[in-house]
Amino acid sequence: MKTSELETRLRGHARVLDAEIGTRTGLEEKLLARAVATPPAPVRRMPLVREAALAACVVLLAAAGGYGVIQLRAAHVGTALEGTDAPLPARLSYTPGTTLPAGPVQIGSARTGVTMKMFTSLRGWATGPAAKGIAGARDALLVTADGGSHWRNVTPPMSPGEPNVLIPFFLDANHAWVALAPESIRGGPQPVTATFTIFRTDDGGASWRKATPAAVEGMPSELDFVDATHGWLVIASASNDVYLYRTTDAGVHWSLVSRHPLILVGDSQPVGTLPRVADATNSGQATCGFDSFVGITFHDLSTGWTAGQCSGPVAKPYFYVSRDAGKTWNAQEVPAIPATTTCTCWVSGTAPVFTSPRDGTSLFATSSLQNHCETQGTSTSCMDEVIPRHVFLYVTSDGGGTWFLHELPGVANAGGPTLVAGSTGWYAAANLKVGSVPVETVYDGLYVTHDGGASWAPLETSANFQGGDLNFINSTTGWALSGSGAGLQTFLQTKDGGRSWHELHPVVTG
Amino acid sequence: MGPESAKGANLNSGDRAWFEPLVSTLGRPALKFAYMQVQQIDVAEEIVQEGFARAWASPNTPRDPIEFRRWLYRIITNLARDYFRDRKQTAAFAPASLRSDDPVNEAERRAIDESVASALRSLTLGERQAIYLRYFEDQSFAETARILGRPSVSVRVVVHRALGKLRRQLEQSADARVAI
Repeated sequence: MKTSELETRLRGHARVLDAEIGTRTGLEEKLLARAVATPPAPVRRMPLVREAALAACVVLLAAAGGYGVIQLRAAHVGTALEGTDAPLPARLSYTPGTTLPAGPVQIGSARTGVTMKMFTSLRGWATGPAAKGIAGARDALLVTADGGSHWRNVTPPMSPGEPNVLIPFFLDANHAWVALAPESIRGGPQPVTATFTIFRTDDGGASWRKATPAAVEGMPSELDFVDATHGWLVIASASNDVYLYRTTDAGVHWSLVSRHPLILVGDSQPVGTLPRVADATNSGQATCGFDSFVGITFHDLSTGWTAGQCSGPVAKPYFYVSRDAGKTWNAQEVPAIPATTTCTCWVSGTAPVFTSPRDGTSLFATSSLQNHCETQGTSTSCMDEVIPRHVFLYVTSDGGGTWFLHELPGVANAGGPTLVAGSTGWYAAANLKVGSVPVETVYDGLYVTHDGGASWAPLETSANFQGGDLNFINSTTGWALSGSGAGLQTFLQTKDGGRSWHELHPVVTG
Repeated sequence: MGPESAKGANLNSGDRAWFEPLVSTLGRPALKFAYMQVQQIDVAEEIVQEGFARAWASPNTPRDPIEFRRWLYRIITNLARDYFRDRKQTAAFAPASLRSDDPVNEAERRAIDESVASALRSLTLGERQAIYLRYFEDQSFAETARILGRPSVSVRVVVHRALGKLRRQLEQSADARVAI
C-alpha cells in the first residue's frame, strides 16, 4: 500500500470519527458550566532551591517558536532590486482576497514566521492581522509607504474556496511572491493538493499575476528568490518527501530540481540529497531533518544553504550547501557546537541571512527534553518539556566560504538577530522565566554588535521596548513587533539605533 | 512573535466573553481529539470538560486563540495519559460501540472503515495523538510538535513509525479477507 493511499484513508476516516461521536447535545453548555464553576488555581511558585538553581542557569537558551527560531528572511543585498520611496498606487487592479475594515490593524501573522519586512524608511510589507479565529484564520498582506503608520490591504485576489495560508517572500519594496498552502488549522479533513498557486507582483502589490503550476505532491512551505526572475520553492509532502523546485521566469514555470526522501537510521543516504533521517526503532541514534519552513536561502544563482534540525547524543548543526542551484547538497564545513549542552539534544537552525554579498549569519539553537510532573487537583500530570539551552550564530564575511561560531547572550525568543551593513546588529535577548510551566522565556534586554556578531553589548533602551521581532534597514532606523495575541502587540520604531522607541498605531486605509 | 508572549492574564476573572467563543469553537474538535485517544465517548467528554475547566482556572492559560488551542490540547493529552496510567491500559482498549442519535450519522457509522479503525487501535497513545493531529486535523508537523510538546523531528519519527504499523495492519487485514 502506498503511503499516499494510506494517508487518504486516514483523512477519510476523520469523517467516520465525526459520525461516531454524533451530535453531543448541550456540549458547549456543559463545558462552560463546569469551567466557570472551577475556582482559579493559585499561581505556583517553585521551591527556592529550584528557583535559585534556575536563576543560576540563565545562560540556558531557547529553541523558541516550536523548536526552531523564526528568523526574518534575507534581504539579498547586492542582487536585490532596491525599492524607492514612491507613494503607493492610488488604485488596486483587483479586489483583495481578504476583507479588512478600515481602521486599526494588528501587524503580524500567526501562520508564518514572516511578520514584516521594511526595505526603506518608508516602504515595506507585513502580514496580518495575527489571527481572526481558530478555524477561520486568514492572513492579509499589507504594504506601507509611510514607515508603518498606514497600511493598504494588498492580499492577492484568491477566491474564497482556495487554500488560504500565505507563504510570502519579499525581495524588495516592489517585488513579492505569495504561495498559497492549505489552511493548517481547521476542523475537517482535506486532501493534499498537487496543484499550488503562486501570486507575484512587481509593483508593490498594485497588481498581482497568478500561476498554478503542478507539483508531484505536497504543499508549498517556503519561497526564496535572489532576483526578480530566479527563485526556489520548497514543497513538503505528507509522504515525507521534500521537493525543491526552481523558476527562471519570475515564478510562472517551475521545474523540479531535487527530491529529498526520508530514510531510516542505518539506510544509505542517496548521494547529494539532504539528509532526512528517522529513527523508526527508537534506537537513540542521531536523526536529522531539513526544516522545510525556514530552512533554505540562496545567495546567488547557484549557491544556497539549508538548515534544519538534528537530535542525538552530540550537538550537531544541520547545515548544507549547494553549488549547483540546488541539485546536489553537501555538508557545510563549520566549527563544532561546544559540548556544553545536555544531550540527548536537539539543534535547530535557520537558513543564513545575508546582508551583503559577503556578510551572512545563520542561527542555531539547542534544546533538550525534560519530563515534568505537577499535581493538578487530585491527580498528577506529567509532560515532556523542551528545555531551551544555548543559541549560536554562525557568521561569514567571505560570502559563505568560511563560517565562525559565536554564542548569543541570554535566551533566544521568537526573533533572531538583525544585522545591517555586515557588522552592526541588534538582538532582543530573553531569559528562561523562573517557575514557568510549560517553559516560557521573558525579554531580558537589547544587545548590539558592531563586529558582525562576534561580541554583543547591552544597549539601554526606552522602557516601552520589550523585545520581539526586529527589522533594521540601517544603523539607525528599525522597527520592532513585540507581544502576540489580541490587543497585546505593540509596533515600535526607532530612529536612533535602538535607544529610544516610539509606538506606531498602524491602521489600514483600505 | 513567540508563544511565550501570548501568556499572561488569567482568563478566570469573570471574563466569560473571552472564554465562551473558545468553548464554542474548540469544544467539538477537542472532544474528537480526546475520543481518538480514549475511544470511549463518555470518558472523552469528561476529559474535555476537565480540560476546559483547568484552562479556565489556570493563571498560565494563554489568551491568544492559537496558543489557547495548543495549551488545551496539551492538557487533554496529559489527561488521557493519566487516564490510561490509572487504569493501566495504555495500549489496549475496547473498540467503540456507539449509537448515534442522528439517523444520518448512524448510517455513516455503519459505513465505518472497520479495518482502519482496527488498525488505529493498534497504535500507542502517542502515535494516535500524532496521527490524529497530522491527518485528522491536517496539522503541519511543526504544529503537531508544538501541541505534543516534542521536537518536530521526533514527531516525524512517531508519525513515520505509526504509518508503518498502520500499513502492516491494513495489509494483513486485506490478506485475511482474500483468504476468506
